[in-house]
Amino acid sequence: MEALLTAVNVKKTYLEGTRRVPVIGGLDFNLYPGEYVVVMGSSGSGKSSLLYLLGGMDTPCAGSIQIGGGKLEAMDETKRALMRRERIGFVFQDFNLVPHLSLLENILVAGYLGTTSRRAVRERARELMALVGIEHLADRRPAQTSGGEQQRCAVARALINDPDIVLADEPTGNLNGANSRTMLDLFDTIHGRGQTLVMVTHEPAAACRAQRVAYMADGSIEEFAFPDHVASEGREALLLNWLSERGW
Amino acid sequence: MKAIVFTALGDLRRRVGQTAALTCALLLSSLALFTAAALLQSLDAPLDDACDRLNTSALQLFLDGHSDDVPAMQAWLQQHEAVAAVGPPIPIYQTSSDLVHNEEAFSRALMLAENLPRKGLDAVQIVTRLGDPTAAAPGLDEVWISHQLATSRGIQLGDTITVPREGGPWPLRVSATVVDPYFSTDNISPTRAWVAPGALAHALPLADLNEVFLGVSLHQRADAGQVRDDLEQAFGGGLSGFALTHEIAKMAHGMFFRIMAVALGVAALLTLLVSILIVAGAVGSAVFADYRLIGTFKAMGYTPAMVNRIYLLRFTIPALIAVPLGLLLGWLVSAQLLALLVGSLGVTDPQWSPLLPALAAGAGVLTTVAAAAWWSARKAGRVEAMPAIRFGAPPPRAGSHRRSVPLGRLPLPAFLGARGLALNPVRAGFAVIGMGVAVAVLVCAVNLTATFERLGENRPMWGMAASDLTVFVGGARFSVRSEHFAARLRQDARVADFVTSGTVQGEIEGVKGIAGARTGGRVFDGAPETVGLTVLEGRHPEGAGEIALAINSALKGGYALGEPVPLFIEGQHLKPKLVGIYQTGQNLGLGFRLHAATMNAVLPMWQARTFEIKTAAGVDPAAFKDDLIRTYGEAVDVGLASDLTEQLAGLVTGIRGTLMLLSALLLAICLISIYNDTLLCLREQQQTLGILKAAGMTPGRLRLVLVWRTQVVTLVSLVLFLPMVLVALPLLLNQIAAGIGLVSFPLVIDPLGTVLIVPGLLAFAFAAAWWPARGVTRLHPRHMLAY
Repeated sequence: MEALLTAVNVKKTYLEGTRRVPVIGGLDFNLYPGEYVVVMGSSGSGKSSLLYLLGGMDTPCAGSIQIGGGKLEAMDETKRALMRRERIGFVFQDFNLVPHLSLLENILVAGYLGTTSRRAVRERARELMALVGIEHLADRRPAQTSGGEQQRCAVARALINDPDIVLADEPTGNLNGANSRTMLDLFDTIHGRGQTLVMVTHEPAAACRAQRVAYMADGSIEEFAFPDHVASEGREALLLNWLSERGW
Repeated sequence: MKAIVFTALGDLRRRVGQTAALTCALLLSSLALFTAAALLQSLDAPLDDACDRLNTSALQLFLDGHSDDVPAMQAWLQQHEAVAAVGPPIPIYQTSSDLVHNEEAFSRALMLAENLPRKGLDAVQIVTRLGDPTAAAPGLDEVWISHQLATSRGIQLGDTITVPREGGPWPLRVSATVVDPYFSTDNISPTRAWVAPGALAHALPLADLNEVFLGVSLHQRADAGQVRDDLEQAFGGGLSGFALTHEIAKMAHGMFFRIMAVALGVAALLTLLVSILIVAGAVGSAVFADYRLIGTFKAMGYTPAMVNRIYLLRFTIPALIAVPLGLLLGWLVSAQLLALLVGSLGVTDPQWSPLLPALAAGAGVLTTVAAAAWWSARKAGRVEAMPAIRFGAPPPRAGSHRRSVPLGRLPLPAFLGARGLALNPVRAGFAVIGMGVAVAVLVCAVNLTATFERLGENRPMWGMAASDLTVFVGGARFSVRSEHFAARLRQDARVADFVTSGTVQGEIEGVKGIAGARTGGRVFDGAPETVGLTVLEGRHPEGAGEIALAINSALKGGYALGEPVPLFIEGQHLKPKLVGIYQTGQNLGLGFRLHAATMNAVLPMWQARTFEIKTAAGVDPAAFKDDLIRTYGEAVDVGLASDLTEQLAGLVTGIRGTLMLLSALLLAICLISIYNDTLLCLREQQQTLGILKAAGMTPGRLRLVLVWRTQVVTLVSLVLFLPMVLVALPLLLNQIAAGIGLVSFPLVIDPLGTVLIVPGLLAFAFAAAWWPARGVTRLHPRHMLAY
């Protein structure tokens, strides 16, 4: 199967004053259509940096990232924006909804960026709101809804342009237990509909829902794929065992 | 306090662009305010000093020695309690045709006066001279001209000015330039020049030597008008010449600078207003952006007053930098302008004190900024710590969503720009007002420029005849009779229509002008409507015993239509009936119009000798003029309507320049305001812009979000202010110009120019916002989202 996204020998260094701090050093990563991949790692290991690189929000210092045949590092800011619009959907830990727009408008704003007719975008937004369970909150502003509802809106916004990949940066990080479970169930649902997902998380329980776990340490990546025969109850033990071997 | 200063300075460093924008606005404001104050403070002193130095008489009478009893007047004046001294009668001669300098004719009227001893009165100061430095007067064929005339015309010592006279040209060599205080400006015509004692009698026929100048020194200069009126009254209102008082000279001398000072003062106040809007907007935005930080300060123990003082200090610091710089620049500009003002008075050092203007401008700007910052920062003190820290933003106002701009009808950047404005309606309101001021100034500039540029086409509303040619029949040596000339014109196919008229002087009871009780009137032998002249009320006189009054004569005298108007004219008291009231911009709206029949009742031989001619379609007035001169020679004096346009060119250029200066200053302030607003918006909406960037909005469209905001502000300002100014401007001008007789100001609305303001201002606002909006492309989305 041809990879949807390919990262080859990707390096990223940040400047802290005059000091160069390497965050990602020579990382390789492939993502295939319909996959659900979780990225784990300790704080400062470069998980979020990787997500921003894969989503074209940032550019690598070296190496190459290809999405749908296009090399991100060769694209200018405008082309990367167009690529994001067509192929990537983001979900952030802090929800990042526009506070002065209603939930429906937050979704529409992303949808109206494309060339699809406004009527079609509006219909799809209503469908997605129903899918994530917030159709009754269409006219509420973010501040008038709970964190879980806001994050569900953020998921709907990420899906509005029917992206190839949804990148979620600790989407349950600011949610309580019940809302976290609802959110992970939602991710299962959209993955079940064929959506490719990459999620950054600290929680092994959340990671167990994925097909593959990419563990980041010292700027490089190691991967773990759940065996098909293992039931869901045994997945977390397997993962914790694998993680502990890597000092997690 | 240390903590407050520390915090305020830290905040200043964070917002360099915004601080720079505010500093520029305040600098311009201080500069303009200082310059305006310095000019207004120092306008009059140089002329007063020069008059003191040269013992210039406060009342200068220019009399007709043939009709006025000059010795009797001299004697009467010497007895007047307000009079300190009266000079001897000095023979003068006023030129009536163009002068020639370096073989080039120039239309400047000269008043040649013999430089006789004047009992110490009305001395002149030699600035430059040729020949004997001790000579008390010019040689026989020499002339001393005013330093101002020499400078403005580029006349050098040794050059020859040729004066036209009946016996042929009279060449006079310029042997000195002098300071003659009242004639040190181009605004007083004729300009006095001094010739040798006896030179006029030597060069001119006796018949032309009827005018004399009488200098009257007063104990109090302010009494000049009263003494002149007393003299007129004592001699039956029959003074035939004119009077120049210290006040009139002072007004004329500083006129240009006074207009500039008022324009600068207006600009300074508008700039200050926009600065207040910038400060208020910036404080509001800073409080909005720092909401969580303010909560943190409060959690740390800052009192509301301390929080308020952080913002007060943060926005007063730019003022503390800008005001001294503005005052310094203002001092340099004022020094240059005042040097120009006093240059014509033979003074190199204006001798002015910058202290008072500096205090007024500095204190004014600083106090205003501090008050605006304090007032706007009060809400910072009111921020509640807990919700500020928890939510990082003010709680949404109930119901505000329902009033929002609907998404779906507008382009996305326009929607987001408009919604961004709705977030902070107070600042949006300030921005609309600021831009509205620019709209108002531009509408005024465009239409006032059009009004003055097209003055030639709109003459009747200014009280002037709309003729193509004005022909005066009656040369000094050769003449043609009016009725013969009229008969020829009637047969001439090139003439579409004409009316004859003449000017007379008369005194209307209860009406006094700036130069005395006598007012200039115009007598028509025919219908003035022929050349477009109209009345505001009633009609023009159609026969004997009728009069039309200029609006201010009617108002000053309190005369209504149908009432008799006591008129003293040519030594006779008449009481014609008021049949019409008209407006004129001449002679401060004073004057009257009579029918020739009224004049003929007083003077049977009186003839209207000025022909206002409208040429037939397709006839070239200039060619017609040439033909008239070829046919009639010296017997006619022909003027073209287009000459008026040329004469007004200087005035139009001056007005256009002042309006352009004002517009440029306002646009510069607008530029700063838009720059500042865009930066504020970029900061306030950083997170929203980051979200849009993550969602795939291109850099160009992200910039458009910020630019659209300014476009919406500009559009709202145009929609609100453009029609409002177009309605208010004529009313305002009617009020302002009523003092000079234009109760219905002949404003010419330039539709194209006015309409072009709309795309022009939108393009200006687009460009002004596009540049600072580039900041959105520089921000890293990760930082924007983490904001």
